[in-house]
Amino acid sequence: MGATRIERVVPAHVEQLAELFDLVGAVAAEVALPDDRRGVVDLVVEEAFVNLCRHAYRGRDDGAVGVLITGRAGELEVELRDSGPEYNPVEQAPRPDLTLGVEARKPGGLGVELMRRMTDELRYRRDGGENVLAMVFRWPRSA
Amino acid sequence: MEMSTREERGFTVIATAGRVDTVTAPKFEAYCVAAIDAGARKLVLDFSQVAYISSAGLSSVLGVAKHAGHAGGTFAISGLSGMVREIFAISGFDTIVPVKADLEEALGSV
Repeated sequence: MGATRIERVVPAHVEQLAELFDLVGAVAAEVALPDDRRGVVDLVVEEAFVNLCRHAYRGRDDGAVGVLITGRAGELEVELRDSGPEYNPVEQAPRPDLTLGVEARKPGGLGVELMRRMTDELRYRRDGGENVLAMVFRWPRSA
Repeated sequence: MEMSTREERGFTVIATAGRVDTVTAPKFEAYCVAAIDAGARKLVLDFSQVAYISSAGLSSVLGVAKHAGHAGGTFAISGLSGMVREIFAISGFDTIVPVKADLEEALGSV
């Protein structure tokens, strides 16, 4: 099985999520991502994309997100690229207290924590005035 | 995402099917809040047909739990499976909202 790759630019609107899930699904099918991992990949992509829509492009309606999805045997990588202010969610996002009860929990704060926990690798880099976040998922290869 | 409500053994059972994500979560929460505001006090959320949830969905579940509590009602969620159960566990949500294995357990204990 060779490497497969999809590259797109999508508007930074949460309504684009379905399109994003379709793109991920196309590569996931090519590289035989196990069915029971698919939901987790969608989750991480959703959290990252929604954060860009809401924060990187806060107050703007014209933001765009570069999407690069690459797959090979046993590995799927989704890279999202935005031109918002420099922000490294891997290091800068606050870590929520996951032990608090119902009344003490605040909405939000959970997304980046789920991204940290559900990826095999989460990498940030600043590249040519853009934020680039790479989310990597690995699974055992079948023979 | 599809939602429906039925009364069963004195409980209001709200069944959700599909994906509770950033786009659908506000509709999910509004639907449940409307049921509570219409008088539902023993609420069970049947999640056995929910295949996917994100943090937006978790936040909505939290919103429903708080709203039910403030209205003086009880609340439970049942039938978590697959990645939904995994995300409830990792986020700690399975310890802050009452999670029941299935509808039978929920209707027997809320």
